[in-house]
Amino acid sequence: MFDFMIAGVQAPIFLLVFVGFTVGIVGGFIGVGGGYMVTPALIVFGFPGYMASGIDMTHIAGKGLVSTLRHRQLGNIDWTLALTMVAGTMLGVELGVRTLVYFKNLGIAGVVLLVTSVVVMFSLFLYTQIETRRSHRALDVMKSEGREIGRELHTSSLPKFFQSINLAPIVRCRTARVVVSMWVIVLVGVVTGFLAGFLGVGGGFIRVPALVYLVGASTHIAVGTDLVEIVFSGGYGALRHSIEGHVDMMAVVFMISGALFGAQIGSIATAYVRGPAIRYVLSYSLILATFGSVMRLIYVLTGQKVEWLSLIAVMLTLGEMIFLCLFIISLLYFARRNKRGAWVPEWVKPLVIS
Amino acid sequence: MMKWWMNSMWGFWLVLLTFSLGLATGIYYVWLKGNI
Repeated sequence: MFDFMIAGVQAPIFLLVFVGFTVGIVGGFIGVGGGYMVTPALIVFGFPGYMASGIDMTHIAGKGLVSTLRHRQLGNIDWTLALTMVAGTMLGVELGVRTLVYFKNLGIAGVVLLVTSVVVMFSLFLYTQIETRRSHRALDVMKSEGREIGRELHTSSLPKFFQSINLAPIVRCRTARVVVSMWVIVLVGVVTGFLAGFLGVGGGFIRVPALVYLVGASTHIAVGTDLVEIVFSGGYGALRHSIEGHVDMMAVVFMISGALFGAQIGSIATAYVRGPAIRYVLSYSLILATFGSVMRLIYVLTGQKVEWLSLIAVMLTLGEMIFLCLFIISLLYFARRNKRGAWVPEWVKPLVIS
Repeated sequence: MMKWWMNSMWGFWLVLLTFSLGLATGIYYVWLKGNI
């Protein structure tokens, strides 16, 4: 146990390093900050809610930077897309925060927040899961026919619609190989920023599917580009929280020390898999987070009396991090085995690059 | 039997999830109980 004097709590160092490491892997792999996993975990460890948000945001800024640098080396960042979207994201976050304050004044912010997060996460899970399964099957067929398979395949027809909107100025995103109206990118930034600001999260789990299914970027580019957004939003959030005195730097240092390794592993792992593998992990993360939120919602609606619901939410929070981390490490392990020609499960073959 | 679980994506998913939730329960009882 370590005495975190600023936060006024005692918590095991090992668990903070462990959380930093696991969320680092997941964040580097699917391009999210992981605030929806880390904040509840820190509250479980005994940190007050405001302190948990501050520590989480500061650690996300550091981890995001490491992942961004690694993804830059891998050529997964489209700077045109990232910088065009930043303005829309900032506007959206501001609108989201103001809407949250409105509901707070009405006294129903807690329930509205939980219901919105459940609806948003479950809808995203459903769409991502259905589309990714379709892509997985298509990859399977291509592989059995002996056809050449690239790094990416998605079967959604939404990008074609959004790319056909002919509203000047038209932006050419060279790395993402996308030509689209600037207003589409800004609109995606505003909508995802609004949800992020309203739900009080970084918004990576909304932005990555939006970049893939609305703008038409490949999953790898969406992950790298989203991490750039996270560095901006995380950096700003870290600054704000530090000024307010919501950050215990010792906790951040322990988490970052785990995240430094995790973020590298997660980012490098993307080089071994195809787009649908990343989208699978994203959709699993969404459904597990949805279950956690449903448990918390029932707990709140039942007057916070049914203790086992809160316990299940704790298990899901920690279990989700471990599960996603193990799934990514398994994919990496299978990808390496597949490269050597060793046995791997049939479902893995279309998902990894051989 | 193990190969069957591994060859099915849902099977692999379930094994991994069960293991993860078990580990999370262990972490809760060993390090966190009484701390929440």
